[in-house]
Amino acid sequence: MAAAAVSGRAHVVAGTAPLSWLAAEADGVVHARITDASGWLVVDDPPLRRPVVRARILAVLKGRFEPGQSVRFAQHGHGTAEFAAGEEVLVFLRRLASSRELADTGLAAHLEWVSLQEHDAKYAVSEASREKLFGAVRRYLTLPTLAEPEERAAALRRATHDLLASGDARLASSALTDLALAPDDLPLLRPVDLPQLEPLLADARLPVGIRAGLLVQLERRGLVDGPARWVALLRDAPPTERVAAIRAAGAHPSAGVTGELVAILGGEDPGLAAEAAVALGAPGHASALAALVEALGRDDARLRNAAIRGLGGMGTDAARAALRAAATGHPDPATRRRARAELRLAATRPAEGE
Amino acid sequence: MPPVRALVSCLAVFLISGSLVGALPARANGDLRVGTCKRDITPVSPALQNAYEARFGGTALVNHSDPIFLAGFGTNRRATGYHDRLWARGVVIDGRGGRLALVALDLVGYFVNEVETIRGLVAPASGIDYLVVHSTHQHEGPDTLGLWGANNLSSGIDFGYLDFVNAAVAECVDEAAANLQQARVRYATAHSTGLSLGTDPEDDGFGVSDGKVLVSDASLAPATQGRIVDPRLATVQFTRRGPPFAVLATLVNFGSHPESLGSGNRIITSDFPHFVRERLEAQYGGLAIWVSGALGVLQGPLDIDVLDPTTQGPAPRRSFRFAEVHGTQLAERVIATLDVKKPGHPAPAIAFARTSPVAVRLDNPFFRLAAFQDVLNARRTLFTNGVPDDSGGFPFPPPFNIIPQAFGEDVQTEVGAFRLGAGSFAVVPGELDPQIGETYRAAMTGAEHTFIVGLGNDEIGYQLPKPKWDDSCHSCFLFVLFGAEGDCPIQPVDCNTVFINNVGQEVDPAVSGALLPLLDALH
Repeated sequence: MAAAAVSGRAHVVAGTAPLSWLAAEADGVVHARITDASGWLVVDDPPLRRPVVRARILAVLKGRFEPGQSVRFAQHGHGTAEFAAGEEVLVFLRRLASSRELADTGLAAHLEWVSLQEHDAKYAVSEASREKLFGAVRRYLTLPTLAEPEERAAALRRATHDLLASGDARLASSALTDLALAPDDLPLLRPVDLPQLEPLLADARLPVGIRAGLLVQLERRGLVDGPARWVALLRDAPPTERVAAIRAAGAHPSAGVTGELVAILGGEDPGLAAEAAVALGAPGHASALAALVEALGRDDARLRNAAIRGLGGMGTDAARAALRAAATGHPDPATRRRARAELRLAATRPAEGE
Repeated sequence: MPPVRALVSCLAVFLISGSLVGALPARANGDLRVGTCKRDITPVSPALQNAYEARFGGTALVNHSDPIFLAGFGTNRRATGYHDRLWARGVVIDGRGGRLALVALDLVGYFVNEVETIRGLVAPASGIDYLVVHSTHQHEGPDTLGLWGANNLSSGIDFGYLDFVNAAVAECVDEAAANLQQARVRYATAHSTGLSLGTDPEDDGFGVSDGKVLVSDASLAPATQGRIVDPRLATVQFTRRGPPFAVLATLVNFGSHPESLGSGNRIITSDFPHFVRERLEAQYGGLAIWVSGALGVLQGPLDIDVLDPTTQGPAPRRSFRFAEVHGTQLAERVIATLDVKKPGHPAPAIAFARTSPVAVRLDNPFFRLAAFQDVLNARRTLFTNGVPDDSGGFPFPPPFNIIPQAFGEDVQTEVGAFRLGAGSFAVVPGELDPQIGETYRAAMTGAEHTFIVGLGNDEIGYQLPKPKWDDSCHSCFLFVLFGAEGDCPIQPVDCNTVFINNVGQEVDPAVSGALLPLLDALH
């Protein structure tokens, strides 16, 4: 499967589906405890076997179900949520009769529901996330009933904030997907929200990818000073997240970010230096040319390759001249060869402006 | 119109921009010579270094940063350990008509720009006329395309790992080219009928199921309610030239996603092809190579059952036992079909052809959004009139004027084909609908055994026949983004992954339009 790395608010099965899409598309949404995650539907005549999941409904958020009711459903799709017996989850169900793949099979005579949750899109209910998760999903579910745009915006805003503040990376990621695609004039993030949202930028519980994603959205709306925040993210990221911070910051150039990346490039950790070298190949870091050229002289082969990739990405005449010099004059044959390969790629495109 | 370079060795000439510029060098006496190679391309991160060493022994060299995002299903799927190693497995074939190299990677896909880098790294002395880098499209390895990072808006690519793979593949080709041996080639085409139990409603007993039924599939395949698979297990085997004809390499081609462990798995593995290769190598020796074929519209093993000979019951789905049973049974089917008493041909004719670049119009506004955001491998650019075009902006009217789009018109890719004696191979740049695969096979007139090399030298996503195309998802882009697809004038809206993750309806006209003439030229 080749998944697009974008996701919308409906019908977009790319990567992990956001909660807003699941809520909108489902015929039923229930909070349930899984009672059997490894059961089978078995029919003798005609022979039929199909894995099914059984769950006891604890609460109903959408659809004609009753608490205490047992529900049985199939799973279908390119990868499915991996449930385990005993766990509490949100389950998003669609009528099996509306599935193009399953409606005309023998399964339809025995089963009414199929889960919408592809790609391991499991939403476990924990004590920590329960309130925020349910609150957000309930707000998504009310959207079709709200006539006024202001009411819809308010509900979406609350749902987004609930998920961002949940402390759960998957929920926050779902909210970020919505934010990334929301129009500017839909006030999902406002100055008044900053006291709640700014601490998340430095929240070590959240992966850097989430913090960076939130920063992009805040910066886009002019709510924070982006360059300073990106530098702070580069400096504050825990050791296990520094690579992610470098990759994210590289796409948001400024003098401060370039300077910080150049400092990392010159540092002693060759892995981080290599990441910085690649990041400096993004548009807007042309002033890092000398640092990348200097990196070609370092001992670490991975770093030299990364510097070549960075110079190739930079794509300026000066960067290409540096690649040509490395291709002919670098003392290491493998580096010369790698530089030649980069020039081969560069030959297919005009040089970038300095 | 972008320049088109075509290389057609059967004519002993090659053309660049329509001009005759040279002829292939004559080599040796036309006898077949074959070399093989393999390189361990398992991603090793600092956090998993000990796990690698504990599993496989030896000293692990770190070639990837933490975390390793697994590709193919959802985002933020982080590797936690290893089952088996990922490989680059290659064969260099030299003989009457040229020198070919085919390297199969246990990866989800590899973009053409990285393939071009590999071509630049292969030593000129290796004399490779046509290099094919294939990805098996397995879903239990690292993200090499940039689609499966921490969330939907961040890339999972580690470029240092790509540099590692590029160098490994180039070394592999150079090594194989430096160790050519006099060889013979023989073929067999097995059939997968009966390799699965056929009791799941989506399992028709071919050892592979079809997870996405397109709108007109039911009329094409009414007996299977529209489910279409390709049951061929095409096999080519190279042996030493003289007795006892020791096997150098066995290459098997079948159309099925290597994803049997499912989206819950976090253990790195090449999936069932690992067990296919183990069984074939135990049987024959030499190097076994798995090449995925027409697997495009979600042909895979997720909804089939296979009989475990130990328990005499279905092997548990989404398990390594399933992968082992399934892979072993696929190999056994090949073994049962391949006639090893036949000595094979010692001097088959080689012919090959390639067209690059092939411009494919990018219709997908979701991909334009991703391209603008540089989520995809940033070295892959769009083109307009054959010239790289990195421009982008906000083309939609208010209130949609916050949605960015890359403006370049086309994606550039390449297609190719080659013949080797009785076998013919189509090299396609993505995930092919088996129905189109049948068209290609039909064009291979005179070939006794036909192969589809899926994800060959690129991965541009799904390729399906234009009449099956449903444009509702792309046409309703803005409605979809804003959760109002019910308001779109086109109904119903189908944003299944086959459509939303698709360059567009012009993929097949462009790819088939470039490939079929090559097949005609070779046949």
